[in-house]
Amino acid sequence: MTPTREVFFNIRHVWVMYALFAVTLAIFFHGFYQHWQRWTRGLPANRTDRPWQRLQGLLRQTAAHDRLLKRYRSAGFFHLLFFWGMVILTAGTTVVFIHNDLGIHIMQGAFYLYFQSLTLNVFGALFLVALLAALFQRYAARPSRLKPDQWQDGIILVLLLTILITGFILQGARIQITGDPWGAWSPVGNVTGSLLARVFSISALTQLHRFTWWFHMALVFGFIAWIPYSKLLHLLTAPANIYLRDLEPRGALPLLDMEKAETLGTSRLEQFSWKDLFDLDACTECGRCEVNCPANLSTKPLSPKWLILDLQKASRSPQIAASAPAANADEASPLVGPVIHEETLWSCTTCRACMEQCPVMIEHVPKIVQMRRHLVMERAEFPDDLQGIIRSLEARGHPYPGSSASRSDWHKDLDVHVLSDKPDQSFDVLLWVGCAGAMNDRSKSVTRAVAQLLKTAGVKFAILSREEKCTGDLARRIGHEFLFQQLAQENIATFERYHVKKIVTSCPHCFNTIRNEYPQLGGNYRVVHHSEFLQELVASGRLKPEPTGLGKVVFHDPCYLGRYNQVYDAPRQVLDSVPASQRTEVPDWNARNALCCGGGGGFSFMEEKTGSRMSHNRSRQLLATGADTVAVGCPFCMTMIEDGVKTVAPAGQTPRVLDIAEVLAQAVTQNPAQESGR
Amino acid sequence: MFHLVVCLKQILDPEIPPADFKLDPAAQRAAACGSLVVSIFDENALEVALQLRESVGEAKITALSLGPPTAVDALRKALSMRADEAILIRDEDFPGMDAHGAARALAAAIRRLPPADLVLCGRETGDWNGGLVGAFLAAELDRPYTNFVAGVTKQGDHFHLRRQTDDGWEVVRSTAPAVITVTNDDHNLPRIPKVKDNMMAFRKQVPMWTASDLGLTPASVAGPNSRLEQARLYIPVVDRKCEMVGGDTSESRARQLVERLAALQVI
Amino acid sequence: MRNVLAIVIPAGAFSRTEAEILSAGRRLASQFGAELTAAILGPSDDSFARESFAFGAKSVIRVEGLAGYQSETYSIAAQQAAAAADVILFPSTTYGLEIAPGLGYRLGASVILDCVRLEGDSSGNLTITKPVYGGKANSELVARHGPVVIAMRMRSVAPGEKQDGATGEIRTIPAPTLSPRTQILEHQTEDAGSGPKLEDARIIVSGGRGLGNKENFVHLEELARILGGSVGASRAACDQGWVPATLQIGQTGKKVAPDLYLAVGISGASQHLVGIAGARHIVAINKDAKAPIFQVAALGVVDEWQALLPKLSDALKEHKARNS
Repeated sequence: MTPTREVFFNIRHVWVMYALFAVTLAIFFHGFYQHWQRWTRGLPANRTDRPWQRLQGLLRQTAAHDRLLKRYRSAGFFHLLFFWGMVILTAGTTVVFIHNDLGIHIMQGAFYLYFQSLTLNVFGALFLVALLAALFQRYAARPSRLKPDQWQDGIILVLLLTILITGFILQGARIQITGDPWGAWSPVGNVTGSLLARVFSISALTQLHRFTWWFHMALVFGFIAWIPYSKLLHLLTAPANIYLRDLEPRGALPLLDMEKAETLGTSRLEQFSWKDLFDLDACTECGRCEVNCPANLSTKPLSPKWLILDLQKASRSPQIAASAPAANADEASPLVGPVIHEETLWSCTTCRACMEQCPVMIEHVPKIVQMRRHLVMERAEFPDDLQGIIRSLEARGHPYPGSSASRSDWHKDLDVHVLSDKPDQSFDVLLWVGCAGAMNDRSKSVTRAVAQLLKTAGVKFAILSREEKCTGDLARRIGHEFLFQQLAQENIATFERYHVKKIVTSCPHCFNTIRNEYPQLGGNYRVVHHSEFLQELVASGRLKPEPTGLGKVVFHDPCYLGRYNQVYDAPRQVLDSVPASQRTEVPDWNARNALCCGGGGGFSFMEEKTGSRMSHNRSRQLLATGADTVAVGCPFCMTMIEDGVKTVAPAGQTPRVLDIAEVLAQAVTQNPAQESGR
Repeated sequence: MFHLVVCLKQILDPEIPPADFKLDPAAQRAAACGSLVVSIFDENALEVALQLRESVGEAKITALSLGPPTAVDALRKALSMRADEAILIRDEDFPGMDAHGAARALAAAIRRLPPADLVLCGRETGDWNGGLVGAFLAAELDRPYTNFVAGVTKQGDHFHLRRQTDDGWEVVRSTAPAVITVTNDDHNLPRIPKVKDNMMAFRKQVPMWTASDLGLTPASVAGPNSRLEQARLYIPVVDRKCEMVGGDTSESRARQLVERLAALQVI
Repeated sequence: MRNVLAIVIPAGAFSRTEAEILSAGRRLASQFGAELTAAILGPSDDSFARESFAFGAKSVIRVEGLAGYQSETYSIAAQQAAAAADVILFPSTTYGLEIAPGLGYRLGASVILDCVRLEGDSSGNLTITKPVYGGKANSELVARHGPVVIAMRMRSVAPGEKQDGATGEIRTIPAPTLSPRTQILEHQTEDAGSGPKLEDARIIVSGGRGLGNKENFVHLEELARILGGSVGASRAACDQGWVPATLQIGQTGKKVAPDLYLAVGISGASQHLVGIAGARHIVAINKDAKAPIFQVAALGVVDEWQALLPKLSDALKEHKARNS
């Protein structure tokens, strides 16, 4: 006899099931179509290019659960079991369909034994265990990221649990009733059957089986129909969202064509792209974004999770859906203010932790920036702190109103190649200093250290000095796209004038903007961060660090270097190159999980008016490592961490905060064989 | 239609860091060592005009500037702040012009426009700090003049001008039409224009008027101040040595400071 | 021979402002080899005439029946008083700066406001120093002929020697009658806290952007109280609305000449330095060692005012207790 089982064993009036399935599908498609209508209200976006790359990412996140297993691993593991449980069991059902309805008899023999019986059982059991674990997590362990409790969350878990349990009951009952010779190939079902047989007689089991079969079917059909009406929608939207993710460089915010744009920024839902709207329905409310958000952790009125869910609710609200586009652009926005409070938008540092952690690749930051664009460019409304800074950027090309510092101060007594003085002298790389590096006293020391190291290594570099203007990163992050483009175009013109090809900079914000965003405006250059450049110099032997008694050092990853551009190793290698240094890490909150210092998104220039200080939170993490030195790689981080460390360091502990260039410079100038150059 | 005219001047950025500020000895003025901006008090004047328009409901605001071709950017800034019209008077046509002459040229331009109920100027320009053109303009047009105004309201046929005095402020009632100069105040910080308005201003036409358009000759714009000779223009050198008070704690520094102050006999 | 006329506009009792204008006028007149006349515009008692003579005026013109300040009336009155004058000096008060240009216009005079130095010679040439570019540069202008109207910056002139009991000729001219087009409806003196007027204060404690907010000025008031001084502010603090505009010291604000000017959290932008050029000793407290204020200060402390000021108050109180 070939191993198989009778499909619809013990069931009569099977046509009812098909009829109910049709109803289920109708309900499903109705719900899905409503979502589809909402998604297609948005503006166009091209997210179907590079299909192979997209597919690879999709497989990595779904089959391998890459992100989910990188943090909160136990929860990630359970969900991996959910995923594979679902996939395998759905495959199992599909096999029955193919076997029974398409008449291709695959459900037999070895395939029946190894796959349909054993594999399904194992995955079903794992699924069941994972569900129990999930219930425990949600209702006993109660991590904050899952708050608040919603009835739908518990019901989904209980529903799936019941489906699995009833599935095993069905299997067990059938095995007992039919005396299935291959019962042992379905071990869990088999055991269930034995247990049932102790309680029920065969005729009782027959009744039970029949009843349970219809019950199980009802639950499953209910599940399917419920998909578009609950967060189960993510079964479809999550993989799709991962496939449709943004493949452009992470640090490049969307370009706004100022001439052609009808609106500047987003003030209404339909001014988001269809992809932005689709994002809202991929959310599984896992809360990973929220518990990694530096603003949220310092009790500011921003939760990336609620940003998405509030937008989701708005997109489903008939009121907001029905509201006609404003006749006059000065009309109040139904979105910015009523749905998403301005304070929420101004609480974001654009650190990207939310997007890094999100398992379904929702894009929180671009939405915030698009709404900021509306506030700044259409309403001219922004925090008071930024008024003077915007005026200063417009008039003077730097964000320090009232400053009497000149960009040429730091190099007055140094012999450096200033391009305007010697335009025809050749150079290999442009050292882009940035506004902080030229005009902020603490950062000037870092610039001098970098210049010193380059000279020691014999690098032919040039600087623009007073011809530099702010790269415009700050302007773009606060939503002033117009000002950003203005500044960027001026800088690009200057680069072209001097035929600049390669740029090194010590500011990750400048690094990110010139490298990833200037190409949007026609400026293409090879840009490296000073940590990468210095690491190459050390590796090639042009810089030879000597021991300096550096002691224990911890590196604080800048958001715009790490998460945005995935440069994690170079700064660490620079630190490691100093002999006898002991590098340590902040456990759990380092590299891609590093907590933002609170300096991005305009925050370096604004006072934190609510909650605690983000810099203090990060400083505590860094100090807890017991390091003597905190190494940074960004002028904003420098300001924030220095201030934080000074404020929260326990009495008697005063670690130094140094840029990696300063650490290296100290290790290199100690070498008597080299020119001190000071 | 209630008509407000704001006179503004484009000047060298007054916030150039001292280290970068240079003089051009041949031209006897500052060198082109920084960017060009609207003189700050002129922006306050424009803001006062905008606020007056908002309080009255409706008014036409014309921005007027006497300057080189680059002054079009200053006028565009005014347009982006929602001035209705902007006109540039070419100053290249007036080589020997002094403050009196500037007032004459502006007055000639104002006479070509629909009658202005109020002319607003900044209290002094950020470059030459003359403080004269507003008053001379009032004399040319034979209108009542009030200086250091921070805010204006319209009361019937009159203006109520809130202005700063040496020890406080005053409300001056003035007949219309009038000429005022405006000073800065925390209520008249110039608004930041909406980017849409920036872009609209870019596309707007800014007509340019010449000396012959205004019926002026070089001689008519050389007033009594052109009798003055600028013998010297120099950057004063400040040569002071600051004694820094040392000490490891704020407490020790405070004590040291008190000692030094006592030694100087100021306490 | 160039006749010099000093315009005196009484505002309360005779003050340093009037003394400065008279002293500047007397010095210039003697450089020209001429005599100083003073014109008193506005209601006043005999003290103004007496002080004018004491500070070197040889004759005084009073205007009969002149009521409180009205710009057009005062301007015509000044014109009548200036009939015989070649150089007319005004103080840089609100009223002075309001009527000086109009007067110059009607006289066909060269007009220069905000001057810090005057030098005359016996040929009647007048060299005027006027700061320009927000105080970053000085312009030296020479007037050789024709009437000149000048407004002297407050506190740029040291009052000269007084000769109490000096006397001279008093002429009276009638007040002009005209229909004025402006009228002062309301005049409010801002309560600038305890302490003397900034222009007269011997000690000033001044705060800038570094103070951070309105409430923090309480600390400066406390310090000023201990020192017996007045509170001032930089333009940054006034623009933020932390203190009334009457406390603003700088290019466009008060010019002060105290013995001690304590600058707290003030960076020292050039336009602020203009207002304190007359201070005898400038002491700066700033957390930024590179702040430009340290270039003009005699004493400097690099510290955060939040930490230093309480200790400074304590130290000063101790010093007072020990020395009283």
